[in-house]
Amino acid sequence: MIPKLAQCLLYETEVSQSVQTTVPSRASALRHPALWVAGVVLVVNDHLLKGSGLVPGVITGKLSDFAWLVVAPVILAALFQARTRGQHAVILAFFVGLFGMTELSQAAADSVSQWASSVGIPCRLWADPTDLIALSVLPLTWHLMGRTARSNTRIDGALGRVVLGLGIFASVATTEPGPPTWTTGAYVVNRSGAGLDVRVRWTTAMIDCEVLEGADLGLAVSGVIFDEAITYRLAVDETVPLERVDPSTPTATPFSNGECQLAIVAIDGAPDTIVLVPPDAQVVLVTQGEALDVPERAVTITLRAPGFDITVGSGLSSGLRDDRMRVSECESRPAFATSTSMRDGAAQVIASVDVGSDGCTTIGTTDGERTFLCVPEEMVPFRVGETFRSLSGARFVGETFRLEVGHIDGRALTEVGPFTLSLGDPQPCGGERTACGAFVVPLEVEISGGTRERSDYAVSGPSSIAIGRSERVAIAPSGCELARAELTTSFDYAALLPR
Amino acid sequence: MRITPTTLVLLTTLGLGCSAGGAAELGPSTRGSVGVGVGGAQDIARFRSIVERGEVPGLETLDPIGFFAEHAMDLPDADCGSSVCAHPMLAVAPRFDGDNWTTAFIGLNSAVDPSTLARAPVHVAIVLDSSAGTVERRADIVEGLRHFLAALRDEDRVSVVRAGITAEVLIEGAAPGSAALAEAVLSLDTESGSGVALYDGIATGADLVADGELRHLLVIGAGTATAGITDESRILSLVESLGVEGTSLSYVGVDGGSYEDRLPLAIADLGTGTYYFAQDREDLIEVLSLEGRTALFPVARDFELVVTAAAGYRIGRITGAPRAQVTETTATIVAPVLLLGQREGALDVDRGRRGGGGGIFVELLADDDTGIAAGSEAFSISVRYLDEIAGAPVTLTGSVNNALPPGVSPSLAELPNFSDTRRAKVFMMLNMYFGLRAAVNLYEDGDCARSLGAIDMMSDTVEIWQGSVYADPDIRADWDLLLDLRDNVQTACESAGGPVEPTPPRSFEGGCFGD
Repeated sequence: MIPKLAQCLLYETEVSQSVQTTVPSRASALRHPALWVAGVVLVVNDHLLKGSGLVPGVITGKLSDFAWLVVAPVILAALFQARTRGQHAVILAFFVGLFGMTELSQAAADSVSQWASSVGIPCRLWADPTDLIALSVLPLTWHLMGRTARSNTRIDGALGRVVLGLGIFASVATTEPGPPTWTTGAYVVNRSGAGLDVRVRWTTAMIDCEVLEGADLGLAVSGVIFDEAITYRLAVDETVPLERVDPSTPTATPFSNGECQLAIVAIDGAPDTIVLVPPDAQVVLVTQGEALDVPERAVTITLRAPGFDITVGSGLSSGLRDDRMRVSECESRPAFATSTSMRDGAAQVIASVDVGSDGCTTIGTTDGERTFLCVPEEMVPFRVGETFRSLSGARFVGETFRLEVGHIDGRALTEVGPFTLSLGDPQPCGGERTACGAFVVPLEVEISGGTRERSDYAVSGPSSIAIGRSERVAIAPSGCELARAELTTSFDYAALLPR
Repeated sequence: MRITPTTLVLLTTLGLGCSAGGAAELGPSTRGSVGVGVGGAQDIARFRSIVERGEVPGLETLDPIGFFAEHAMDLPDADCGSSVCAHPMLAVAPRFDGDNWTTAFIGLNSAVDPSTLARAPVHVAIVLDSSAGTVERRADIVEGLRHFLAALRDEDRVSVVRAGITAEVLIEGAAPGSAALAEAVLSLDTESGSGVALYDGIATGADLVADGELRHLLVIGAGTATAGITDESRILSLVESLGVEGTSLSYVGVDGGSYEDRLPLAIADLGTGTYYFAQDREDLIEVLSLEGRTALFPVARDFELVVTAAAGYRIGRITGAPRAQVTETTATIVAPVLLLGQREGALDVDRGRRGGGGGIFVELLADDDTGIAAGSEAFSISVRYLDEIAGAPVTLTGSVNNALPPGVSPSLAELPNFSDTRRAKVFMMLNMYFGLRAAVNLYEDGDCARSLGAIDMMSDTVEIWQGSVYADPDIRADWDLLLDLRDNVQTACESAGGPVEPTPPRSFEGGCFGD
């Protein structure tokens, strides 16, 4: 048996040797150990190491690049039977160009990912200029592409087909599309050395980013305004975006659409931390296991036995949650409001004028109608027996005077009788929080015309004007009263004017 | 007669002689003290109804004052010589994570027996809002008002105001049994929903009852104010000022599918009356029937309580006083008026939740390594008010020492350190509240494991407590509620994401009372 086999082998060897000079040289490169090593590295890295936590993500990302730049050009050259160095250069230039483009441009990377997915090769690519270091492997690649070696044709043919197949597989087969990538202005990263659960809560309240960036978040933000919450299980070094994202999109994008966001980051064993992600947040691209190092946008969890520390990056604003009502240092003025059951324009005779214990005046008419005027008592000039009308809006007209009660939004100049009104600067009190979770910054109102009797009152002849609640609403939860349910800058006034 | 927690709350606050250290005695009362609260909900009926339905309630339905009101608190006798007495207490225990838990409690009670107060004729104004929510329940409301009117006395007077786009007076100063009043009440059944001028309705009602010796407003609504003066600060200011003047207000919430409890709770927190949430028709009828037999008497006005942390401590969280304002070392609670309720008639009751509890908890954060010795002062209180019975201003002070140095806890093997071991129940009650809150809060966060873990973590503490001299039916009932909640959380979590392994949370607001 053996001699016959030897004869066959000898015959085959002799045949392969005899045709060696005429068979294309592709098989010799395919047998080179460097190619095999690169192929194994590529397969093992993509299918086992990435996302396993066994090797840091920064290494697994680079490994694939090095290996791919060896395997893919060599395989393609073998596939197309490129014989000349010129042909090799064209192939190599193609791969270098493709690689460089996708590492330098995220748009290019997304386009390539999209095309690859469309032809049944799902993949995720993200630009990282530091990956260009993998180009240092090109001399080896060039060497392998040009190498020739003595080989047995049948063996090389069969081996070549196997290696070719494996190489193609290694070059294009990837793992299942990995965890989603996020574009976010801030992210949470677990550097505690162990897996942990992180609870993130967001708010649907409207937020005035400009005010909150300079505010004491522990004072301004109450836990009651937070509704949507998710608990994430984070492995060591794993990340999660802090901006709310829509996980149903292939590349999750934030809901914020360029506005700032508030979030509470809570973990067992650390104080709840409020984080404000500014609207001009630098785009940070993170994956669920690997992150570009942007510490100024990171909320980092570290171990501080027996609990944890939550450290917020310098590019974000933060504060510790404190739901207690602190003593306010702001001068608050009452809201001015009116209500009447009288028909618009109908004249009636006043039967009673009573100032209630809450400071609002009730005017009763002989027809049994009631009008409530929640304005300073000195602004109500109407007397029993006087004819009285209520006009649309909040104007009440007697025989000598009229009372006008208004609510002005915005900072535009407003003329009321001889006075000109405009919103001034915020009070230097830091703002105050209401029980429903709204945060307001009381404002001064500038009055020109007349004499300023006190900070909220001015006179000019028989006319006078009083300023009521004046504030900028910086956090407007939906569950609050109407006056605090939107981001507004407004003030109330009550003006007593000659009829 | 079905007894609900709402009913039992009223029983205990209404002069049935809750003697110190003992169960409530039925029948005519002789001596004893009754609990006094600074306002708020009377129960957590809405929370319970959701749990009973097999769901997990939201955190907004768990009002701490309402929860405490369902417990009997056996405070020391009200022997301070004034109408309202304050009793400071302290508890020190380890937290579940080993840290220190130091909590102050200030209980309020009165030696005034409401049953001995002369009940003058009351003029009550019924203010019914015209929201879509109440329209849905209008038939129930009309039936409930029939029982309400039947419970009043002949010398009482009733006015009815419909709070729609404007406040409309339907009838003024009618006798409870008059045909005109019955017709006015029946006419409510046909009103369609529109805006709710709540301020106008309350102000109009207050004006109508101004001539009464006893003045009361009964507001029935769905929790909204959408017409007329809608500014909440104005509405609250009105209710507060009326309370100071002696006009009490009860808000009965009815859910027709769009109930909002924020405004009613804010009104209740003023302390000028009561707040009930009627779960269903039967509950609404019972609440209104009891309302008809109840008169509220002011015992104190312009009430102010200041808690001051002693050296080595800082003020932490406040529970039981939503209007409390804090600085680093003080907590201030004010109330325009404190009321006691008087109810007429006897009532057969089953044993169960006794209710009537009220008080304020102040967390004391101990500084580390202060060098302060054991037995030093932990906190002091200062109480000021105008005694309505005596007609004179009152100032009370007190303080409590900590048997341990600041920040030092008893070992886990020991029971907590209580300044008054006979009245430690209030702190266990607080723990049960924290357990409920933690479970619901963590569930809302999506942390199912810790939501279940928070409840499981309490089991040893409850078992030890109930096996000790402190065993109490209220705590047993709380534990039953926690277990029902646990079932609902587990069902909801497992249907969403499969089996859940409970994980005890490290951060828990309460103390470990035995492990």
